[in-house]
Amino acid sequence: MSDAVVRIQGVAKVYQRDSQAVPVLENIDLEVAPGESVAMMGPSGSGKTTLLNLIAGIDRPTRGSVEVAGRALAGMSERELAKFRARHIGFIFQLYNLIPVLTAFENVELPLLLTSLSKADRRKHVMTALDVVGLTDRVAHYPRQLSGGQEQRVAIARAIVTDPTILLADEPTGDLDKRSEEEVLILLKRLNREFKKAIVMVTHDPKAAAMASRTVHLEKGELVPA
Amino acid sequence: MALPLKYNGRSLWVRSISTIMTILCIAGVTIILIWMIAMGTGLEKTLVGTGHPLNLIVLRPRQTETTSMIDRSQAADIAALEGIQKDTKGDPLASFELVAVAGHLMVNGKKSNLALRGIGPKSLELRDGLKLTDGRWPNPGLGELAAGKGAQGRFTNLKVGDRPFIRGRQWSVVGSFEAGGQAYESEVWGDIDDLKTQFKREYSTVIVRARDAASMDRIARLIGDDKRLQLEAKPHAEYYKSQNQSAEMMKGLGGMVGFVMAIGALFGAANMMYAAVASRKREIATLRVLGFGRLAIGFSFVLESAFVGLCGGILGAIVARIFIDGITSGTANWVTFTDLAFHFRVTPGLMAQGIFTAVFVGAVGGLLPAWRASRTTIAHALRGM
Amino acid sequence: MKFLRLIVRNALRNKLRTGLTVGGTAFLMFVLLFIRTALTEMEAWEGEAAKHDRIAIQHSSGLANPLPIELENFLRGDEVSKHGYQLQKMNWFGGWWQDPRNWFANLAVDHPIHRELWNEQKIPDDVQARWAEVKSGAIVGKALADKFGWKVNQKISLLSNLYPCVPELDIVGLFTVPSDIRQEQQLYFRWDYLDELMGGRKIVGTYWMNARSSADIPKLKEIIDGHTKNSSDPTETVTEKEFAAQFMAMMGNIKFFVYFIVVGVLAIMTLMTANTVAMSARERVTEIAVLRTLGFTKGRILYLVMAEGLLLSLVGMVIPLGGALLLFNVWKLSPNPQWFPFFFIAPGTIALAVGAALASGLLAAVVPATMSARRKIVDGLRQVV
Repeated sequence: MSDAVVRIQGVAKVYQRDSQAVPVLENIDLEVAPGESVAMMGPSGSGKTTLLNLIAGIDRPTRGSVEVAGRALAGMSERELAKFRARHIGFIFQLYNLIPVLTAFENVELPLLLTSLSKADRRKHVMTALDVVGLTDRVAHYPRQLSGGQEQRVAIARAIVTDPTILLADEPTGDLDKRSEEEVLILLKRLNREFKKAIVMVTHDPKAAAMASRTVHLEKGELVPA
Repeated sequence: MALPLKYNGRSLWVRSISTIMTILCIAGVTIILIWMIAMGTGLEKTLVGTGHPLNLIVLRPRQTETTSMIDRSQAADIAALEGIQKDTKGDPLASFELVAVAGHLMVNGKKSNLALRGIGPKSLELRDGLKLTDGRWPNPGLGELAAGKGAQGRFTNLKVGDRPFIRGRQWSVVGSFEAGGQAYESEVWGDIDDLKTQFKREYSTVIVRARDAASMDRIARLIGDDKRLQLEAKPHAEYYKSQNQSAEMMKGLGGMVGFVMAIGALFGAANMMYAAVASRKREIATLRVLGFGRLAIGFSFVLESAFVGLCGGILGAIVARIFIDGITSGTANWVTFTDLAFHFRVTPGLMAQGIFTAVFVGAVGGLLPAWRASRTTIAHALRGM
Repeated sequence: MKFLRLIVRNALRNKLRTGLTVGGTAFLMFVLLFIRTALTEMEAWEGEAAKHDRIAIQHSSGLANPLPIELENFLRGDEVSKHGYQLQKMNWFGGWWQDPRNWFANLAVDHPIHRELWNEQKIPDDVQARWAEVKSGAIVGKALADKFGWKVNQKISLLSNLYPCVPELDIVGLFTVPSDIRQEQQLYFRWDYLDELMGGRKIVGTYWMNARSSADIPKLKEIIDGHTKNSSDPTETVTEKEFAAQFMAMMGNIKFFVYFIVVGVLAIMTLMTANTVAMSARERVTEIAVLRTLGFTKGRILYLVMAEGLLLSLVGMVIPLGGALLLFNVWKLSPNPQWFPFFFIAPGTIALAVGAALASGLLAAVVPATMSARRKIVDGLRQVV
């Protein structure tokens, strides 16, 4: 399908640790359709995060090709990749990774500072994103003043504020308590069903995987049938 | 129980870049501090310590050797005074001299004032520490000169065999002398009558050696009270010491600059130690749990910081000793306006001073961080954030 | 400047660390300002002199040697008058008032021509008239009079070690120098009065005159020095700037000394700031990786870290600069009023401070910034905070 959001063909990734070559991914073929949500599961060390990083353009494969939003990442320079990420990728980390010296508002605004939008326009987008995640009453709070669940929601708002082509989430609920976990998963589901955002989510949690429309399994760097 | 020093040593190694940078900062400050004091001390050494303790120098009141004027009969009267030491032949140990100033080209291409001294037969005896290193002393009537080592280093054309043109005639340098770093080394000596003729002046100075300290006082009073003579006698050493103004200013300036820089370095040391304490909160808590007391922990951090200061101080002192010690320079004697050569002296004492300051800076800089370390509550640190 | 907020907040993340760094560099920057100002103050006369076309005629063997009075006729003659005018005799008296530490510039000059030759000194008509009437009269710069608390009509006497006489002067009035307040630290009395005290011996220290234009100066040098070349008192004619530079040359290698300290201070400042920026960048490895994930380019990251270093340096510069300007330029204090009546921070020094802060900040941050920018995103994300 030519309109696949993500197309990965024959990808392998080998890390060089001192003089040792450590293979992490082998023979990966994967496609993600527009509006699809994919859960990636597998034991620790199976290469899930690495694969996610390749899709985000944070890392480059040793072999094979990665295409996102119709663009081949291989030919892009670091600078082009940066621009690409800003426009197309929304990344959600397990540990939220908000900038501690910025308020919730400013954190969400951060990706927009890379664009040429006016201050007023930026504000509009930020408030919209915060509204979607339900945190418009916490805009002036610093991350340390927020609960884990709230932090992650701010992180999600940051991930969607530029209206990216795809959301990538690395164990988004791994560090949350039960209730926050539910809130976040419902939010992600809403983003996928209502806002038609394609999502690739790495997770340990079968409950999280259940929210996705498709699950793939990674074991020792290879995709295995479910 | 005191903390094993191995603990502190290992911690320093791990944060090596930060530690090295702090050591370099402290070393830099030490070098500058030592340099400035070495300059002041070098200048001072030239002036303080010149002049035999029993010598008196007689001049017109308030005048220096370059502007004073004493005529023949006055000079003879002084030499005849009771209490002056006699030499082996029974002649009074008194010399009549003249100091004149002439602009002369320096080695660095600029011009400065060279001091020329007309000496007589007793001039050499009246001064300690003189050593002829080359050639001979000048003979009268031939326009011969002997140049001091300092003057030779600063000015052109003053080596043995040179024939410099000074004040309207050609002279010839027949000897070089050293004087143990005393002010004389910046002078050029010639026969008194040659200089009197060429510079059209009378004697400027009479130097006498008293028999003992009591005679010295008596002679000085006699001369000062004599209304006819209208001259003034001072201990020779004191005359030179009183010209020490440049050195005083340099030392004052050096102290001020060094002090301010030391404070800056202190801030740097404190910074480094605060970072150290912050990154080791867990360790400290663990040590507390193991039984090491607050004081022991605080003290070990102060020690660590002082050690960094010590390293910086030693490094700075050694660099200063290698590169600064022995450099010859010169400046104007602001009283006589003649050039005064001096050496930068980085003595072991000065090195120790620098090192001590560095250790002090390190220790004081580490005080507050050490206090903070000792206050680390066990629970707080073990919680991990 | 969208990222200014982020940069500032990051710098303030650890207020103690930032405070110590800024504080430390502030002290060092103060030293830099101080040392350079000492130099610019000493060179101040040269700068002012360049604005005029005055020349000085001095003995070629140096200022300590007097010039003959006969030269005056030649200098007033047709040959010289074609290129220069406003001739004045001037003797540096080198005196002090009451205490040798109270020394200042006191000079004996031809009074009639003084106002025109030194026209930047504003002498009121009535003062000039009184000066012509009272032979022992003296005019005093306002700043000097304020310093010693002298009033008009007060009698003061000067002691000197260059001249054996004691002038008893009547202060006939004050003068101001709006364009160059340093010149207000001077006192002028009459040359004919000094000559009378010295028994009419007509000793001339230097002759000064005004060239008709700067193009006439080389001609004047040629004519005057050529005329005296073969006499017993050959002259050296110099511009006022060259005259002033002589004293700097006598001082020694002050310039080199000052530059060495300036460079040393800069190096230490840079090290200190670099240490802090490095610590700060080390703590934000993950954060920077996250920014890269969001789409921040390497260049942007470089910019953010460099900007932080720059911010630290600039703040560390503004504080001492502001303080120094207040102390020295506004309140007109001086660290050593005897040697430095004024201690103004010159525009050049301000520029140096700003430039130094910029350079220091950039240099300090360049290594940590490059390392931060170059680090692979995945490596940064992998680090546990």
